[in-house]
Amino acid sequence: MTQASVEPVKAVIDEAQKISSGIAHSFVYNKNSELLSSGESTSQEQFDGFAKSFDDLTGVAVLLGGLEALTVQGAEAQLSVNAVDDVYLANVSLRTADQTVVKSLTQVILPTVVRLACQTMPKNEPETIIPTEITPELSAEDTMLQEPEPAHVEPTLKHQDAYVTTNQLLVEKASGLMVASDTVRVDAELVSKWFELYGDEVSRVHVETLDGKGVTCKFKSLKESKKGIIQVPEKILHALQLSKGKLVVVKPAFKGEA
Amino acid sequence: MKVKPASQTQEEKDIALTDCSVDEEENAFVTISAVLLEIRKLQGVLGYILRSNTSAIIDLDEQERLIEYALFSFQAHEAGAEIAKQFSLGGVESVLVEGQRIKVLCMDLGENRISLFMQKDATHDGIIRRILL
Repeated sequence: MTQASVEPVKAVIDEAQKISSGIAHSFVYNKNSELLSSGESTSQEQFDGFAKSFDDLTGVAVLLGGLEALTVQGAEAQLSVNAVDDVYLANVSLRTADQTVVKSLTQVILPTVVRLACQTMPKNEPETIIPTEITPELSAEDTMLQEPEPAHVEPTLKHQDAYVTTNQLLVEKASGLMVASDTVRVDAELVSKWFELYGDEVSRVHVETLDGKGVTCKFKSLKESKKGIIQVPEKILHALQLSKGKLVVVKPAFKGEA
Repeated sequence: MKVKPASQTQEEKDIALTDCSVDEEENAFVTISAVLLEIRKLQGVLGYILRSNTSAIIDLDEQERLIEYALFSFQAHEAGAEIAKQFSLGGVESVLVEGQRIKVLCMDLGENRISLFMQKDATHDGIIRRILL
């Protein structure tokens, strides 16, 4: 990330923290643990303390094949760190905050801006990202970004299992003549929320029982309005050893995921 | 002549209370180890380390790398606690560290410290719920 790109990143971080007070800290640092950009709320002392712990962890992370992401879940707030190109983006968000807004900012907008800032810029024509007002509805993405779609951000979303929307739904058996054996039917309100959050990257759902058995399959919206319900065809019921009335955890699966 | 039993001294009362809490800790350790034994069978789970003040259980696929795993477990718990303190996250509920191949879930339940090692694509949401139940 060049010096010219640090300022716009800081501007976007500050703007994001103004939009959502639930984002307590947000900062970007490189693999040498040098702070590149941060919001007003993050002091150098805080970063230095964090960097020491992160370095200690990186030192032993050879076991894992290198460190890509870190999530520390506390009783009141959570810290998440993700690798974005050749830097790390860290966010601290309060658990009481509106998670939809927080996720939109920390998992879509900020990583996109950081990724753009990391791209090599020509010497004679420095390209600048001009931050404009960001609204929680994500519409500002279109006004802010001068590059193609943030589809590259999706791998970050996929890796953060803790942040991808998960819901517990009650199982019903899918019945009828035209029931596809590989398709579940999900609460329509939930489906529209997924499309709102993730766009058309959602192609399947992952259905998992409480004892860890899971399957990824196609999905459709329920025709009737049935909140909190998932209708599962017999073949999948049998595979997961499920029956009517049991609870399952459902989360969207993205294009390209296994 | 009737002999009244001597009343318990304060020291005896303290020992009795300590014995109760040690029993509770041991019970918790046994319960958690039973849950981990079940979780161990799930697809994608590579092993775990469970440690209390008095006991430890290590069950790993790669026994030859035991020391590396133990060192990582210690470091992850320490880093989580330190980071939580720096940013006032409150009490640490869990620490998830993801690498390119493996991810590790660390949790503290009372005096018991759990580190669960999994393949990168294993689902850990259900595992967290099982441990907490």
